[in-house]
Amino acid sequence: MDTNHFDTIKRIASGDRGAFRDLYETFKSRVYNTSFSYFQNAEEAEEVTQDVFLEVFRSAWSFKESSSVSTWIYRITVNKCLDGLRHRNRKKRAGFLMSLFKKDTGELKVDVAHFISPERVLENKEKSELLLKSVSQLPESQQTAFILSYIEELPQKEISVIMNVSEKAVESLIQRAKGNLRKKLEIFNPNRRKNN
Amino acid sequence: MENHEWEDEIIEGIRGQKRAEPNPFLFTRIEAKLGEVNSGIVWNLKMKVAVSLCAFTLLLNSVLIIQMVSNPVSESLVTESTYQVDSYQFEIY
Repeated sequence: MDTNHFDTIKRIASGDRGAFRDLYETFKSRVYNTSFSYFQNAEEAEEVTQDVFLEVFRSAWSFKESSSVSTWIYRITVNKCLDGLRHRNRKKRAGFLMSLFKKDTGELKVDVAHFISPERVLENKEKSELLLKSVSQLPESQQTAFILSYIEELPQKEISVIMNVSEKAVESLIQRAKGNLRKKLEIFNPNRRKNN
Repeated sequence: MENHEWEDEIIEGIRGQKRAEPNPFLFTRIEAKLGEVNSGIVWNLKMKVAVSLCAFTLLLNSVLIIQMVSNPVSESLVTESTYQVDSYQFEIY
């Protein structure tokens, strides 16, 4: 287990701001990147990054050395992201219901859905965006397993500790996530469209 | 078996990409929030001490009042002092 940052956490627990800055510098991009993968939005990713580090500072005293600091921070990040997504989905659902009706007359109105046109040739950046959009449509546990494995490139053992499931369960979640992603991406495949 | 080369290329292509960096001012924002949290904690602590002191004073007052009302020692003290005054008066006459 990585015991590198245990001392830093102890110093943070005693209120050492310098130690907190050191920890922030070490983990900021991992936390931000993970959050960005969930939200695909810089503003929300920064909001979550801020919440994660505030939580780290507040609960440093309760950190148990049974897991590594990295695992602990990833676990806080995943929980904050999932909470944020649930909150966003609740708001979206309420907003969607409101958007179905015109404010003044109360009549039903039709919104044009936003989608990426399959006709376009996808550049690398667009491919990443398309993949992240598809990832965001996966069930929560598949989404988390895929992000931690493919984007954060964590070993399955660490993912299992973060998600509090067995390594076999992680493996299965990743396989199911890949299967679902293939199906979601299929409609954008230009070769398949030509064949059909 | 279906060929998913195109889809797999996109899925595998996400590996090893450079990590995005947050806004350089994010730490300043976090520190400011931390200040708010800390001042909140100090304020809460002060409030708790003040409330505890008030409660303690009230309790002490109540105990003293109850003791003053119900304690027979105070009566005997008054009687004693009356005797003293009486004897003092005797001595004068």
